[in-house]
Amino acid sequence: MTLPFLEHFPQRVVVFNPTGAYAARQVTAMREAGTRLVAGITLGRGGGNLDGLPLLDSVAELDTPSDAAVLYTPPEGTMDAIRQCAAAGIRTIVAAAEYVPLHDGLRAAQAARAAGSWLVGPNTLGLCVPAEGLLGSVSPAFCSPGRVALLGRSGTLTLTVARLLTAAGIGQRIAIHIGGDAVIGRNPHEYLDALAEDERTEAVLYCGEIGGDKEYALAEAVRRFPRPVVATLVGRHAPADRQMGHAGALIGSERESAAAKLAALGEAGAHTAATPYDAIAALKRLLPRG
Amino acid sequence: MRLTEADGKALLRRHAIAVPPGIVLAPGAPAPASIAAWPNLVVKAQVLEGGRGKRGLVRRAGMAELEEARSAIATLAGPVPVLVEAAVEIEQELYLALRVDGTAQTQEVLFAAAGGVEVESAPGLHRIPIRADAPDAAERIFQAIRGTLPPQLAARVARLAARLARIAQEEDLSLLEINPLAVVRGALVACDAKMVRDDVALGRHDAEVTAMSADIEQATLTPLERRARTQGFAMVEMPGDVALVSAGAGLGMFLMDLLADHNLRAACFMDNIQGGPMDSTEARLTAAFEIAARPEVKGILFYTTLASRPLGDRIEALLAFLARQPAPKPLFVGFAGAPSALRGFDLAAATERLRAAGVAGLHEDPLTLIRQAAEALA
Repeated sequence: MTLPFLEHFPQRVVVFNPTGAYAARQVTAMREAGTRLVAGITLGRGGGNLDGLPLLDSVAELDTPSDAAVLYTPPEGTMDAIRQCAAAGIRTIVAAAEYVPLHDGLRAAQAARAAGSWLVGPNTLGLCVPAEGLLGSVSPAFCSPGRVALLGRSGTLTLTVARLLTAAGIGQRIAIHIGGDAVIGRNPHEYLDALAEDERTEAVLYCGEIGGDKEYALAEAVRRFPRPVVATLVGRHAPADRQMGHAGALIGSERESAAAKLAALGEAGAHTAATPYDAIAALKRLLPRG
Repeated sequence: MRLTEADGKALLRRHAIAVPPGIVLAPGAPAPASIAAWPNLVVKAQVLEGGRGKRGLVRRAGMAELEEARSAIATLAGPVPVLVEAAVEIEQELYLALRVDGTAQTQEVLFAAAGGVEVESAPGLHRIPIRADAPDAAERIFQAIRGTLPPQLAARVARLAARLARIAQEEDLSLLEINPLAVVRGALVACDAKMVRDDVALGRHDAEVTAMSADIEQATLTPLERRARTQGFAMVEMPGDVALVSAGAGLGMFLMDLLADHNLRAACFMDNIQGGPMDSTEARLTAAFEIAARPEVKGILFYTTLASRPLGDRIEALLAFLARQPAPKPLFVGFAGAPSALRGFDLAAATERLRAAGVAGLHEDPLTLIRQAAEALA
């Protein structure tokens, strides 16, 4: 499966619950970035508008199907919103909410997958395809067009690394915060498999963190990925058995530590780096043309 | 939140899963006369750490030895509640657990035909992906374990596992482990229960019924960690020499790593929590300055990256705080904001004001800032 938002950047984007203070700022930023928003979906506000964006009560009221949805739905409603989007055949779903209950996230991810939708998040800042568009709040000002696909498990780290890459003269094919929860729509290895189909991606930078086992499946995908993968993980000096913010960021066993996961990725052929700065230096060596 | 065994067993009892008769006794509380009817007792400390058996926190006793057992446990674990249960005659010990495999995106049954210590990592453990809502969930589990037990017992375990999968979903449990699951006169009895309830789903459940677990978890936190939770952010205190004020888990861990790479250790880690205020900068600074006042702490690092929330608000909060309370140790500040976060924010003026407020180092690049700190604090 390819990444639907890289194949063709969405042209008919709906925003769920766009009227809150945070969401309204993202609506403005997405419009400034050139993202084509066609409607806001917010129950009880149908018929109104948000700075010219028509508001509908339900995604079922759209005249023409949407190809992407950005969800600012609160955590307790996120599962249903995702299932609605999946049922509507929306190919790209970006679910911003943090604190979505684990079992809700699981059922939502299963529904999106079964419908053939690509779910980004929950707990995501979304993605920026530089020079093409923005779904969420990965600021285009931090990014620049290029050939490196940046995948991040943490929002603030994805922003920071996009900014550092740009400052170092390394452009991005995409900068995407894939989500920080234990269950996210698609796992890192699925992104990597999909990026193998994208000819404009010449290298991948993966920024992970402690906790969970997603990097072991990623390591298997690295073995079959035809281009360089650079990987770095934060939390090398985090204490064991303490939750470091994100629901999944907890070293419950040695296998979940940064050192063990980096070792597995390195053994599979990834270029491992202690810090994002070292990762950027590695990318400079691997992509001498910048 | 990790549930105590007693809270976990109460949950099982509410769902009509068999557990031994038992009663919780608070420290010093008298044992009710009714337990005299139980021929033998098991006395178990209600603490959240594993390995209670090895630590002497689970003891068999007759009624006459009950107080002696409680006293021995109190000596080892302090004044903790105990669960006193009727001992059951176990014919066979099994292991059964439900968890969520985030990468495979499925619920998973873990089963072993022999319970015991560290069975989770022993050979013979079956891992069976299931959908709790599938009508044939029990049949699928039965197919996977049928070779390990006599058919009737395997069927009983499979039906129980399917029920537990639905209970885990309904009760928002990320882990539900029964070890041992005892065979007692052909029936299945949960002799121990380890459960973890999803923190972000706590609001869906009655807090009263898991109050013991919450109290024990609270007791494991430091006073500053407890206060942080009431103020709407999470904090982890660590032995360290730099009080770190950050927002965002990944960025916070990145800064911790960079500090450690420069022979400095973060003395704290901070992140948002569910239901917290939009901005808790002042409360975070208060905690950080308290940590920084300790003799072993050499400095303070404040770093933030914002994509859309107004950066100006956060920097104004920092400046206002510094106007009231000078930093007890050298303060290093860095921030980066996207255009939407910088709207209406005068970067040059803010930089000037921060310098005037006595900030020891100021840089937007985290590595450069931490190098400045390392040099100054060496």
